[in-house]
Amino acid sequence: MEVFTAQLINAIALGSIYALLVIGFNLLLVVGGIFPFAYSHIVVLSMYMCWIVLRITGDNLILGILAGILSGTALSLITEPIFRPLAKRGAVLSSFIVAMAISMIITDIMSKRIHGGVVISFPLTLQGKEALITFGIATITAGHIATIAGSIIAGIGFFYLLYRTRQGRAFRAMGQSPFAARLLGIPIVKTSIFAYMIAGFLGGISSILLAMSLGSASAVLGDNLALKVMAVALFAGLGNIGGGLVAAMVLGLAEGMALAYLPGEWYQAISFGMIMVIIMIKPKGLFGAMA
Amino acid sequence: MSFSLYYFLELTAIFIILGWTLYWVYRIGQLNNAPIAVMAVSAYLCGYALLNWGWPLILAFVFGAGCGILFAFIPALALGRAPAFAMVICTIALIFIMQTVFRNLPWFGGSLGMFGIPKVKKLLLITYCFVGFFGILIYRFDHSRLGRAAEMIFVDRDIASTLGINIYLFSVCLQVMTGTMGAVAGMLYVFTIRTIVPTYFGFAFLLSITTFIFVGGYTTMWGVVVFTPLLWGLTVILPESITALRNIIFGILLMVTLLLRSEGVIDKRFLRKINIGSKLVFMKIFSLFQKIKDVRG
Amino acid sequence: MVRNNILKIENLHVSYGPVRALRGISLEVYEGEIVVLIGANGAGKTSLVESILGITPAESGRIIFMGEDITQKKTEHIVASGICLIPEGRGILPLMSVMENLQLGAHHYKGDISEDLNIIYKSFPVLKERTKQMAGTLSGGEQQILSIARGLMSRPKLMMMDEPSLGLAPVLVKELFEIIVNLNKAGYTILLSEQNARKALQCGHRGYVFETGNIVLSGKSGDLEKDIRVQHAYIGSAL
Repeated sequence: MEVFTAQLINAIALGSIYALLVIGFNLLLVVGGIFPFAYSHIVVLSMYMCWIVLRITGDNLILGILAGILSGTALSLITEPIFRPLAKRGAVLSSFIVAMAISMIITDIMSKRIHGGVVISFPLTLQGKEALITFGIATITAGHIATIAGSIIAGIGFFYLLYRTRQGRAFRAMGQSPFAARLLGIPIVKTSIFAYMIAGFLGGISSILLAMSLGSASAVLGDNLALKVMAVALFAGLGNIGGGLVAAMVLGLAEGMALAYLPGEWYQAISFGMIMVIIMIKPKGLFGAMA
Repeated sequence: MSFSLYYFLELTAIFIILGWTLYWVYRIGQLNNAPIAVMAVSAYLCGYALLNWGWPLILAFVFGAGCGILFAFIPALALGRAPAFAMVICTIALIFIMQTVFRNLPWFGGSLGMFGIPKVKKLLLITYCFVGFFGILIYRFDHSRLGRAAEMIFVDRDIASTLGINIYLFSVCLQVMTGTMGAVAGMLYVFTIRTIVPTYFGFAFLLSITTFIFVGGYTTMWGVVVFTPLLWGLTVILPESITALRNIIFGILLMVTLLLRSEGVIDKRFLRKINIGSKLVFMKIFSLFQKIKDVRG
Repeated sequence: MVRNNILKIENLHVSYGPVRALRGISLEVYEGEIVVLIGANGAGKTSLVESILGITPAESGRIIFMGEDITQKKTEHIVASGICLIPEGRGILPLMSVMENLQLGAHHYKGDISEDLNIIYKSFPVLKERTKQMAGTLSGGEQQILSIARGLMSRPKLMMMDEPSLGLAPVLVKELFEIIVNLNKAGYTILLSEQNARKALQCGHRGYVFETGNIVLSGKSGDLEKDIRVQHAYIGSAL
C-alpha cells in the first residue's frame, strides 16, 4: 500500500508535466496549424540549457530556471519562420517531416556536442528531494509539491488566457477557421508567433519541472517524450486541449504503476502498447478532435 | 571486392528497399513506419532460428519472412482505417515497443544482441535480385489500374471512396506488402552485419530513410533509387570530421527540400523532362547510326 | 448633394495560379449606396470581395478606399480601416458562443465594446436570447443575422455581403433584404453580391453585372432590371 502511495504521488507529478507538454503541443497544432513533433525535443534541449547554466554559475537555481524557461521560449520562436510557409500551404504532413528533421538536429546536438553525450544529472538542490511529509516509506518531497503546483498554476494561467482574453479568443478563432479569423481582421502571423511564444514558455516551465522530477536527462529523452506527448494528444483527440489534460494524467498514472510493479524497461512498452491499442480502437481519440 | 565497397552496395540496396516501403504506402497518403519494426521481428526470429535451433538458412529465411508478414498484418487490420497521424504515431510507437520488447526478452541477448550469424554466399547477388524484384513489382503497380486508384486516394479520400475504391482493403494490402519487403530487408541486413543489436532498428534508422525518400521525392519511385546511394555514399566517402555531422546535414537537407521543393528533388515533372530528354538523345543516336549505315550502304 | 466616393477600383486583375478570375474590373461605390453585383457562379464576385479585403492578392490595378490605396495592405489593417466582409456560407465560428463571435467582430478595437453590443442586442433581440449559446447550434437564418451583426461590430464604413441569401428559406430571404435596406437607411454603405438578381436589384441603387471576370453591364438598378439581357440571363423571362 505504501509503495502504491509513493508511486501514486510520482505518477501524479509526472502526469501533470505531461499535461503541460500536451497543452503546448495542442496549441501549436491548433493555432500554428503544424504538427509539432520537435516540441518535446525543444523542451529537452531547454533542460540541457538549464543544466549548462547551473554548471557555469555554480548551481545558481534562479539563473538556471530562468535559462530553461527563456531558452524554451526562444527555441520555439526560432522554429516559427521555418514552419510559416508550410502552415500557409496547409501541409500538415510535410510539417511533421520538417519537425522530424529539426528533432534529428536537436538530438544530434544533445547526443554529441553537449557533455560528450553522457547522461546529465541535475544538482540535488534543484530536485528538492528533502521530504516534507512522510507516511511510512511514502514521502511527499518539495520537488513533488513544486512540480504539481507549478503545472497547475501554469495550466490555470493558460486556460485563463485562452478563455478570458482577447488574445485567447483570437487563438480559438484561428483554430476553428483560419479563413474566418482572417477576414475578421485577426493578424494571422502575429497571433501564431504569439502562440509559439506561449507554447515555448510552457515548454520551458515543463523543462524545469522535468529536471526536478526526473533528475537527469539524455539525448533519447527527446524522442521518448515526443512519442508520449503525441500519443497522449492523439489519445484525447488531436487539438482537444481539455481532453489532453485527462489523457496526460491517465498516461502518467499508468506509467507510474507499470514502473512500480514491472521489471526493467517494460513500463515503456506497456504505456506505448496501451496507447496503440486505444488509438486502434478509437482512431479519432477518446474525446473527439478539436475543442 | 573491397570490404567497404561491399558494405556500401549491400546497405544501399537494403535502404532502397526500405525507402520503397515508405514510398509505397505514402502513395495513398499514409506514412507507415511499421516496416522498421517488422525488420526487427523478422531479423530476430530468423537469427534465433539459425543460431539456437540450427535451422538451415532457407528455412530460417522463410520462417523470418512469415513471422514478419504476420506481424505486419495484425496492426494493419486496425491501422487501415486510421487517419494519417494516428498511423504515423502508432507505427513509430511500434518501433519503440519492438525495441523494448527485444531488449527485455530473456532469449535474445538483451541490449548486447546476438552474434555469429553465419555468412551467406553471394549475398550481394541475392540482395540485388530482391531489389530488382520489388522494383518491378512497384513499377508494375504504379503503371496499372491500382496505381491510378492510389493516386486518387492520395488526392481525395472521399471522392476515391465514392468512385468505389475500397480504401481499407487497399491500405491493408499495401501494409502487408511493405511489411513483406521490410521483413526481407531486415534479414538481408542481418546477414550483412552478422550481428543483431536492438538499437539497429530504432529511430535513427527511420530518420535516415525518411531523409532519403523525402529529399529524393515521394511522388515517384526513382527518388529513393537515386538519392539513397548519393546521400549514403556521401557519409562513406567524406572524412570523419564531416560524417560526424551526418544527422545535422541530413536534417538541414530534409528541411530545405521540404520548404523549397515540397515534392522532393525528383518529382513527376522532372521525370517527364528526363524522359523527353532521353528520347531525344536516343533519336539522335539512332539517326546517327542510320546515317553511318547509309554512308556504308 | 455631392456624395463621397468610398471605394474605387481601377483595372483590377486577380489570378489563382493559371486561372484568371478577374480581368480588369473597375467600379465605384459612393457613400450611402447599396451597390449590387450580379452574375453567375464563378463570374468573379467572390474573388472581387476577397481581393478588396486583401485575402487574395491583386495582380495589378488599384483599390482605393476613402482616398487611401489599400491594394497591398494586410487584411487586418484593411478591416481596421473600416471594411467588413460577411462571407459566403456565413463564416461564423461554430464552437464559440454568440457573444464571443460578436466580440471577435470587434477584434481590432482594443477599447470597451459593451456599448456596441447593446446596440446590436437592441436591433437583433434574437441574439440576446442566445448570447451564451454555441453559434453552431443556431438556425440558418439566425446564423446569417449573427454574421451580419458580427460585421456591424467592427463599425464598418463599407459592408460587403457575399451571397447572404444562399441556403435560406424564401421567407427568411425577404426578411434578410429588409434588414439590408434598414441598415442602408441607418447610414451603412453596402456592397452586395447576389445571385438572386431581382430581389437584389429591387433593394439596390446601382448594379454591376459580372461575366467571366469582366463587368459587362452597369447602371441604375431600375434600368438594369428592365434590361432585356439581364432579364434573360439572371431574372428569367416569366416577368
